[in-house]
Amino acid sequence: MAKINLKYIAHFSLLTGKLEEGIEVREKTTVSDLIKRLEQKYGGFEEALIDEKTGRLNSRNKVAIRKAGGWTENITTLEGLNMELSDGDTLIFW
Amino acid sequence: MCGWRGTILNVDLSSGKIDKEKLPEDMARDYLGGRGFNIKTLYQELEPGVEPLSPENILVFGTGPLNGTPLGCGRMTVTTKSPQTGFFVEGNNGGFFAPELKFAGYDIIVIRGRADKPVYLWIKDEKVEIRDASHIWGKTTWETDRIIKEELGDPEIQLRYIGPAGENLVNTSIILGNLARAGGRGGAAAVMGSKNLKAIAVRGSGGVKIARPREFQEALLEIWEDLDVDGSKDPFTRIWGLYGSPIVLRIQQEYGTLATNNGQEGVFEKVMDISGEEFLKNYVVKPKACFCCQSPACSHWCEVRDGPYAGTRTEGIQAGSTEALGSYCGISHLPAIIKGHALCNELGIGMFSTGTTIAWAMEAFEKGIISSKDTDGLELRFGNHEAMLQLIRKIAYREGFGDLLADGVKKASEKIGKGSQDFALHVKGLEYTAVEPRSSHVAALMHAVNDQGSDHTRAYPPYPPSPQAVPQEIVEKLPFDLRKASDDSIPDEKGKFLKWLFDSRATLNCLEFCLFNSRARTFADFRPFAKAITAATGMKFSADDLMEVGERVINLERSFNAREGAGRKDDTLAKRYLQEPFSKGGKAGFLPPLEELLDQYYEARGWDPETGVPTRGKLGELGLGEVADQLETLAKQMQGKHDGKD
Ligand code: SF4
Repeated sequence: MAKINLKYIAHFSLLTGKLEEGIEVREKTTVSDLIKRLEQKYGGFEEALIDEKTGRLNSRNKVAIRKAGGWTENITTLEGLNMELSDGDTLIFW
Repeated sequence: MCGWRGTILNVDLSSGKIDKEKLPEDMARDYLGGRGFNIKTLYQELEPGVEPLSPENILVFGTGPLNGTPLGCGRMTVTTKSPQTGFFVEGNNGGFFAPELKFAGYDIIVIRGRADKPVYLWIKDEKVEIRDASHIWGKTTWETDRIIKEELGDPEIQLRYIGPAGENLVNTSIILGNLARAGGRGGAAAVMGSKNLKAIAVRGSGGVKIARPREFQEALLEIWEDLDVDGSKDPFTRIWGLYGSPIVLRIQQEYGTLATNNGQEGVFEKVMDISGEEFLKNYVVKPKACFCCQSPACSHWCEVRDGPYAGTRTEGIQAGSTEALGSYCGISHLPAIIKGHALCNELGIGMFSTGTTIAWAMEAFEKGIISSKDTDGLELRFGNHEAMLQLIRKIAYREGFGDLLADGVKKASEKIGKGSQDFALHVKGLEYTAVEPRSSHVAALMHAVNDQGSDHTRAYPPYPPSPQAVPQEIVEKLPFDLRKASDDSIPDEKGKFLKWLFDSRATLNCLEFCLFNSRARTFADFRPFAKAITAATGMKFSADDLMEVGERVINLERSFNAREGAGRKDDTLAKRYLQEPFSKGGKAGFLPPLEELLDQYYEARGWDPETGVPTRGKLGELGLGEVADQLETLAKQMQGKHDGKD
């Protein structure tokens, strides 16, 4: 299991009713899997992040990742969505 | 004229002479309005070397062809020569003054000379008078707002005024209107104060004629589409439209670029206490916005209800307020930040410059460079909000230690010395603002080459457009490689991108369309603006024509500064930004390769890479041949003086 930090800003703090939380995910969980999980838990994540026509991330909201010790990078591509999460990663939704 | 009102109002405070002049059609076409009109006027009228606080300096208040139409918002530009930097300085204020000035029949006001006692200007349509202001000299901006409206008997009068800081010739003073709409960092208010001009009041009963209303409305709807909080493809539309900019604080925190303790770090441990979410939950009373703006929560009316600052009511808290008076100074007490914001507005000083200067003093204090003997007994440690609030007053009234800080961080650090200049955060003498230079290559370059000094407002937003938001044919025509420009792990294409960003934002400032609202498609696709301006004025403009105006304005601004001796040597950053990376957070370790970025920028601009000054070829292309002649003559004179000394 990997411990992941989630930061919810603006719209996403309204969706979740939280500013941040920590969760555990199984090994090989991808960013995309995590978004699905948050969609099930809170609703509104897929609509906010994914373009329903193309299935790609839209430009209306952002999801970014910071690997432990690394820079915060916006996730913009399919490879980004398929990235596997590791212990200590922080995901930022805004 | 359609779009423009066609009149320049000239006011000479020395002689009391007021006259009106026709707005030349070629000036309207070549400079559009606002920022463009102002620099054109300033360049034309001021001899190099004019003392900024002398009667020979001028103040220009310029509106654009869109002000007074539903597209124009309330933005306008004030430009003068800065007592702080010695270069030009401009402020882009929002509110309701600009449309009112258009309704009264004017595009520009030019203030010259110096009154022999405090006065204010009262413009009521064609009637313009200079009135006594002795009874409001010394009053705060809020008192001034109330007194003038009461004595003229009209609560709808629109005003621009200065507070005690401008009267006391504080370098970091600013001009305000509508209680909280501020602009003119670098001492525009001190210039107004030096002229004994407390305020300008305006009321108009006319309107702005639109040449082709139906086409104008079509363009307006295209532009407004990008501002729909649910539909917009820009992530900041919803933030500005629904929550307001203080929300940005936690975004900066997560990207590791929230300047903290005078920029020693990019992460503020107590960010939650001063976050936008905290502000919205506990302090906001109602949203407020400028004239006709589609971004209704950009500004907020807020109140502190309990604690030591209970009863504080103010407007316009932005992310900048919570950064400058918060994280820069290590302050996590949100009511104190709100109080500080209210004080800055009421006393008429800029909160960015004030926060940066106080943060510098706090670091100097903590490092033992200054002590409580220097600071009138204040324990200037990071986080001491009581000390910060006392210092704001002292700066505005030039009292004790505040007198030193009133000249701004560059001059204060030069006086104190002992290495404190290394962490005095400014460019060209103007204090750092908002977008941390170590956040990206573009941000670093943007601050360094900005002609008015450190500033984020002339290249906003400081990231490339999204290919998903902009039509493909526009993406293909962009004068930079969008993929490389968007990749911040490499410096490539940043010079070309920043040139495009500066030029396009300058165009918007000339139209006086708010930069916050050029989002998504219209961030890069200027065809709707060309359509709007053509329909408004009846003169034909293409998107390329508009971009050329922006480039002309930037070249003239740089030429103004070049006449004052500025060049590549001034396009630099504080030592901290070049040598001290953040140790933690989402941008740890990054330092901008500034010299490489400068080379890229000058090349993209067609400027001399050694001097950073526009070349004759570039100026000629933009119809500024006479400016090239003048710069060459001045360069020869300088060379002559230099040779004479040798
Ligand atoms: S976005 Fe804000 S600053 Fe710009 S015009 Fe609207 S209310 Fe004014």
